[in-house]
Amino acid sequence: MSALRGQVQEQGFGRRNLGDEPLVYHCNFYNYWLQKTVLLVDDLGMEEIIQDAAAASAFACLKGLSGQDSEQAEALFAYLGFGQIDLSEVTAAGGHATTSVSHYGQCLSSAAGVPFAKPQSRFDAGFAAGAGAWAHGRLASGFGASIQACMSVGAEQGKVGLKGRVKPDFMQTYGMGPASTDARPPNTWAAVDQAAVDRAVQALHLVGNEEGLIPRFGVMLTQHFAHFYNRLSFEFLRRMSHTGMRMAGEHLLIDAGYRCAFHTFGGIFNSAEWEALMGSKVASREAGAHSMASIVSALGWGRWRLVEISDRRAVLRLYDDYESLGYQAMYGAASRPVAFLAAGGLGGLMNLLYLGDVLDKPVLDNDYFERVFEHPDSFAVHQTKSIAMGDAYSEIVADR
Amino acid sequence: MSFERFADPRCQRGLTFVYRLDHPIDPEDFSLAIGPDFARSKQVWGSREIQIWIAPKRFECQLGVRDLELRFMHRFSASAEQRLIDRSRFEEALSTALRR
Repeated sequence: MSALRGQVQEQGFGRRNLGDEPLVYHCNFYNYWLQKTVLLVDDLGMEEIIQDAAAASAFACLKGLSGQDSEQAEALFAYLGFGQIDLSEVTAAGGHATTSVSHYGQCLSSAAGVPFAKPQSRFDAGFAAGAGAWAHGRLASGFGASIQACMSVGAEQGKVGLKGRVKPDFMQTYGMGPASTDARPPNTWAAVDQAAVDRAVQALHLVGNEEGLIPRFGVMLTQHFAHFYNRLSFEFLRRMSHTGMRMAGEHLLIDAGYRCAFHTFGGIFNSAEWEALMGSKVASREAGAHSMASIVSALGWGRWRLVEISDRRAVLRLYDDYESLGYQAMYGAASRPVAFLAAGGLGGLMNLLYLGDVLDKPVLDNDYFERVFEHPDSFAVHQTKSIAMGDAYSEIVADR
Repeated sequence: MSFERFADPRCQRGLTFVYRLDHPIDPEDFSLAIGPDFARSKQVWGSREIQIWIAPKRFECQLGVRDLELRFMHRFSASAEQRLIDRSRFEEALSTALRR
């Protein structure tokens, strides 16, 4: 496999980009839950959005890198932690791509806990379409993709069929978009040196291994396209709004964030990587919360700063959070806050620390999840400020 | 045996095993015991230096992630049969290194 021509750049307050496309780290649990969430309502047409968002993201990222060849696209797929894809059977007229290893095809099952009835590799199909279109000089929308085989439902390898198509109203990515604000994140906890945490996380070398996966922090990570997550979340919300179910949509997206927090943060708190990075600094729940905020701030999600924290209430400020910036770039000013993943994340973090005693390293199984997250005294979250609404930072309050 | 094996019950279940040792091993002893057919590298995680051995598309072994602990991770690409062979070879090398 050829090496990727280009590297991730740091920009603004904890933003990361490759080929001028913002990247964020998320794990197999969030990838599973977000996909499951947006597909909950059958007639929203979200399957097509998932594939098109993947195609648009892959196409834009590859365009931002140099060259125009399938090998570069294969290297990108592996580098980002999506697995191994073979695009050698794709021509300008179409063809097929195969995946011998696939994050979406193989790593979502441990999140689901039960066998899948339907293929989960819609992202792979979209990536193949966007990458194939880019490599063969077609427009980003130039290929329609169909999943012909998927490892999530028992196939030995994934297979995606590609056919030429014309789709004039195809979605655009927004690139890095404008930086949000001149307000600088405050230093809220003296024991954390954010620059040092950034360097330490970078030293973990969180990129795809030789089979294109990132098994770190006890989970399967991906360096994913922020545009992909935002397009799924906000298009789901827009379509739910049209059916009069916007609030239900918001709650579902926050719930996906809760689950992300449980597994990603829980996994991080329990991991050897966490102990190596934070060592003896985490002597209290408050220290744990600040430390996790500093780790999150190194994952491309923007800067997280806890300006208030106690066993009853926390106030989180977000600088350059990828959800608010993405919403603003795609749809303009928002009428309501849109940092759903972050809101769920904060609630999850507080519940893990103050109800679940996560620093004592409990077994993070379903019983624990139910006990902590369905506890009558669990934290509720409220979004009180939003960059997408014109505020200098986004703000979320968790209280109980 | 002077190690204990624990299966990771979470995301990487079936893939990741943690080995706890009753005394430290020298990385060079382990390297000699497991043989030369591996890509060897180092990473620095905070204050820790992690020694890594990778058999491409078969497994990865990390020494130093915690005191007296090794992490063994199968690759998805490895067949069930290959995984058994690899884990057996790894445990044999670990036992040899522990005896030195």
